[in-house]
Amino acid sequence: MKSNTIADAVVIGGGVVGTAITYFLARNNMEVILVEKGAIASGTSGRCEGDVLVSDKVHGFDCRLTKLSQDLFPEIANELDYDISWTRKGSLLAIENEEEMEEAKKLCTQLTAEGLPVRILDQYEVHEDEPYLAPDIVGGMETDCDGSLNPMALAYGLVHGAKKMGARVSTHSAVTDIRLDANGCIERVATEREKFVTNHVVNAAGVWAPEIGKLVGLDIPIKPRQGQLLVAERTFSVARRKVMEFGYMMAKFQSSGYTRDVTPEMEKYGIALVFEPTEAKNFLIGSSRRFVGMDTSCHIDVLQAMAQRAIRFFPVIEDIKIIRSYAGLRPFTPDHLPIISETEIPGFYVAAGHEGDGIGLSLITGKLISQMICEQPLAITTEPLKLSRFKDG
Amino acid sequence: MDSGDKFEIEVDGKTILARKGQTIAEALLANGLRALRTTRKQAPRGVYCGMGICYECRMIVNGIPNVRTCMTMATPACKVTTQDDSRITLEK
Repeated sequence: MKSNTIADAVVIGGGVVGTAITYFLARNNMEVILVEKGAIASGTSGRCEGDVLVSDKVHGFDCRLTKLSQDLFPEIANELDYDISWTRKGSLLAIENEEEMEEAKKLCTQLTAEGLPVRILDQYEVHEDEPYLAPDIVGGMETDCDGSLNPMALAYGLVHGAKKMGARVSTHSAVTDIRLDANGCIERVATEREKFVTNHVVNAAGVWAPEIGKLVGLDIPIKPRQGQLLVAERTFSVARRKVMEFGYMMAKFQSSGYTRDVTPEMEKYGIALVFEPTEAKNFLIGSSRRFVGMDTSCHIDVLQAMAQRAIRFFPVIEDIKIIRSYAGLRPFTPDHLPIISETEIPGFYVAAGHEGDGIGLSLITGKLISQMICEQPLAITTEPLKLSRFKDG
Repeated sequence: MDSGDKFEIEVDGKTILARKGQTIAEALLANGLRALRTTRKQAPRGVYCGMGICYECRMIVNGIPNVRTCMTMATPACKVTTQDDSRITLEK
């Protein structure tokens, strides 16, 4: 065991959230150490889609937080030495029927009031926009500011950038112990190989955050929610940008009891169309949502139901071959908002629970945690993101 | 084999003869056509494994891109086009 290393802060977790925090802390002249039990981006960040979206957020705080994060990407993409494939082509929510169209118009008004570049496309316009959409799709909601990137490149790019500013990174090094001093403040972090003396620890361990929380006796209500994805072969341009279905959001967010015209399997597996063209001219098909513990294997009935759902929106892809599938674990919280928070333990911070929004929210999370530790004014209130909101049931 | 076993297929707008029971790749090779596809960097590619594994012999068949010609039977009047991987289009 090496002797103790002294640092201003230790960040636990080498996904996009932990690497972003490390980057922003290093940029704030903090001596920071990133520890990760596996490799960089080896967990959830390496098993996702790479979306930076505001269009699937609830209007209000969720939307403002996401937009703040989104607007940091051009700057950071420019700062990093790595090409993170950041593109901002916008996104389209496909609308299946008139009932959805009415809701979409209401949502569009709300999002426009938030200052977002959102627009409703009618049946003619939506097919002009995406000619391969099924003819019966009645319209779409377009969000011009949405973007996508390569999440592995983002995580590695942030690590590289942080190292250049003096950060240290220790991979394949799981945290085994976090020690508090006599006043209950953070004093030391031990990994399998090293010990670090520090007053600040950030738990950015995603679906593993509850385990790290236990080391200091904190209950962190994050559950792994599995999402599977299909990768199609390189082919013609089926869609020019991200396409999702409006009906799923409506079923998820509205209390009106709206149900989609889907099979019982699609309902059971939480399947909603996500169609994502990639830089390499392949495309990804999602999405599914299941609570199956830490299982990251794909299941054929889920994959089939996802493919079926995608064919409903893009009948033309029926003959296109699927070359791969993969599953990731999204860190789910009971109220669908992340935890970006100080805690009752002085010096212990939580930045986890972003579910499917980790890529999009990574940069604002990094910025906010760095502002908390450096005692700077926060970019946005973090009141709705506090860990303490889950207390008192 | 008598002439009744032969039929025409179209390759890049030209007509060649194929025999009943041949895959498209076999018919092309029998006619001396070896470059079936170009990569994104415009290098030619042709039949390699001949058994559906390597995906090198992909062409546009009846408008559908990425068809493995070694696994696809030649049929009368089928239309085959050299595939350019730098710009795959659907010709349906």
